[in-house]
Amino acid sequence: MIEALERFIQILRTAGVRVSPAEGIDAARAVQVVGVEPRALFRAALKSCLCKSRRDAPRFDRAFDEYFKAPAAAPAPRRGKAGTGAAETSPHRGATRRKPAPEDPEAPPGAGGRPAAEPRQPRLREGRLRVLVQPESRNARHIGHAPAARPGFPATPVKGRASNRPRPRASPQAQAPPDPRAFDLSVPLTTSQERVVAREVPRLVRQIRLRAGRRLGAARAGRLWTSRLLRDNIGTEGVPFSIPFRARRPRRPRIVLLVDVSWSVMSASTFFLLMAREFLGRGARVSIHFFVDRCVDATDKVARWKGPAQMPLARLLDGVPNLDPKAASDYGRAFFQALRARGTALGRGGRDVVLVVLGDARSNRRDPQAWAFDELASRCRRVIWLNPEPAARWDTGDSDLSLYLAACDVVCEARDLEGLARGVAEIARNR
Amino acid sequence: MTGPELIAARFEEGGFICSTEVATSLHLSDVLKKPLLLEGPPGVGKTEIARLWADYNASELIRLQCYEGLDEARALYEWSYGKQMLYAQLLREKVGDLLSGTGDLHSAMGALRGQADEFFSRDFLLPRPLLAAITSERPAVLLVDEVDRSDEEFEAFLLEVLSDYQVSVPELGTIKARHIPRVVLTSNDTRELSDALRRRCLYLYIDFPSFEDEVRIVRRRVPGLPEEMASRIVKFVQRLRASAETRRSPGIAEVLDWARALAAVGAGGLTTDALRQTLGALIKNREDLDRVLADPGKHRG
Repeated sequence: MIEALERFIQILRTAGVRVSPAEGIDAARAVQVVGVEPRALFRAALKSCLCKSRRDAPRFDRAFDEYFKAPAAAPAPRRGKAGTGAAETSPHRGATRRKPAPEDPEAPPGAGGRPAAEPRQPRLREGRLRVLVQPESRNARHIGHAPAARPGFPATPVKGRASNRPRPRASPQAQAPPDPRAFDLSVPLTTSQERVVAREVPRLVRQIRLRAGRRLGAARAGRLWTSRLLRDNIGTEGVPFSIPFRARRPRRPRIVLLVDVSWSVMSASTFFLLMAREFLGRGARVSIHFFVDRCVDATDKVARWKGPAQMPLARLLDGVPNLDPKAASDYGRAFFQALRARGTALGRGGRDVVLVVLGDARSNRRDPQAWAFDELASRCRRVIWLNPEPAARWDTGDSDLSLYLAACDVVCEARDLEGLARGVAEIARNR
Repeated sequence: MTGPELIAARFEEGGFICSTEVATSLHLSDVLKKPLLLEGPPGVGKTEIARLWADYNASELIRLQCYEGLDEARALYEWSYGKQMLYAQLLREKVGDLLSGTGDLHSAMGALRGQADEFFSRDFLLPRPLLAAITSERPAVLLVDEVDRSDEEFEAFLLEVLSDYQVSVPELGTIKARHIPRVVLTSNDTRELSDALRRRCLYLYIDFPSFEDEVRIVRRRVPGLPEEMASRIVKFVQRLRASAETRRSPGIAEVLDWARALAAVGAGGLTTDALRQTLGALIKNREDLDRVLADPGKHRG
């Protein structure tokens, strides 16, 4: 409970409620006194200890509702039968998981088909997970236009940063147009903003290519081949007349993009697809899969797509069969489906496959099926996860990111265009 | 019955409809030994909560009403100079006897030095609310009412008292609390209280009650009033509050007064005549009164 409370306090701080350590201790003592049931008492106790101003009350309420969701309130999935199982009861996140009914043909075996005796722990991939987080100072700059349109995370007003509104004349810096690379993609953009950002994509891609090209150039020359150096120059008594270099063979990995296209990450998904397509070019071996509560292959659709200026991604999604963009995200189910789809590059996997996932890992408290993602990842050479949310929100509320990160090589905070570019550049490291 | 449930039940017996938040905050304040800061518009029952809290605990309610210029002397303690003078007059002969044997001023001062402390003993100390609460024989409920009216200096002083529950009287030394008092602070939110004070307290914002709760309150406190009439009164008042037409939103106490006034004149409904006769119990400003009476139908719905 203490851990859950710590996380909740972190969320409150992220939402702009100032909570001191002493207040946190008070809250823990209060919970000890009143317990977690009934919920109204639990809420009142936390509120009186952690929320010390009238202005903070709506923020507290939203954060509480988001974090301590009532187990019974878990929404039924819109389609399929995957959500018809029973819900376990617990007041804090991570403990309310839906168990799919055993008769569900699409049910992930973790609950229905798989023998439940051995719950699988996510397996850590060899090597270290690299976390690419944008510096805090830059984050502050990025919270420019609409500070919080996400449910559960209220707007934190940033003084003097209503960048999209006409502002009073102040300084030349204040009059400068907002940097499209710094637009917060975790909130919906207006059409004009989308156009501005879309125009920026090719320039950014050129920069990534340039950097990648330099690296490739250096790689072509290769490294000094010491053993060969000695062997080749043995005839000259070790005087190095010939200096051999050994270069790596160029690889052409297959790229599999697994993109969450639910409304909450729609902006980020749009520009990620645009950027990835631009970067990888026509000849690349790319397959693109969309998912919300199930996973579908959308490679052909995206190949024909001409970008958000001609057609918004939302309209493109309407034409993708078996995809309901309005459904509640269910990462576990989507990963399980992807795992079973042996006919696709994603399902087959391979040592040349680089899996790139874009999503906020918010599963609406459904079973995260981390084992399924782990299995998928184990079939791939490398796994890169791009999260359009600010790092401070990772693994808060209904986010299951920490469960999936165990199987990733790189996780990248991609809350704006530059963050996305960094993620895309990570793909280039494998080429 | 758990603590908060018991508090809610007892408050209800006292005629106060107690929400879960109020009951839980009071319970926690008691268990965690922390002051409770109640904030909200005037007339929502903040002071009443303190009164009932004292009743619930069968303790004395010690009230400190804050105002601009309130200082330590008024809040903490004062020496009873009049009493000291009177004693000095009455004991003049004794003082004469004491000094009769001394030959010079130096020895007279020496003889008095030992006796002077008697005039700065607890017998001549006038405890003000804060000291009274600290030195009370039984745990008391200390109500620091309308703390937002006091100066910031006083707020800082209060902070010190509420942190350690002890005060320093230079002539007597440090006086520690015999029992930690249950402290309730109220604020009408007219000025922002310091973060330091807020952090030391549990906090509860009390807003005007919902329609259903207010009807319950009116029916409970004005027993003879028919339910339909109570609903009409509350609907009228809630529309008045929502319209922001008046300078000040009427509080619950004023609603109860108005309901009683309507019952007293035997009004069967909120007719214009009945409003003219009784609205003074609800609205305490002439301009507001004129504005509402100009178009009473707007609030009747």
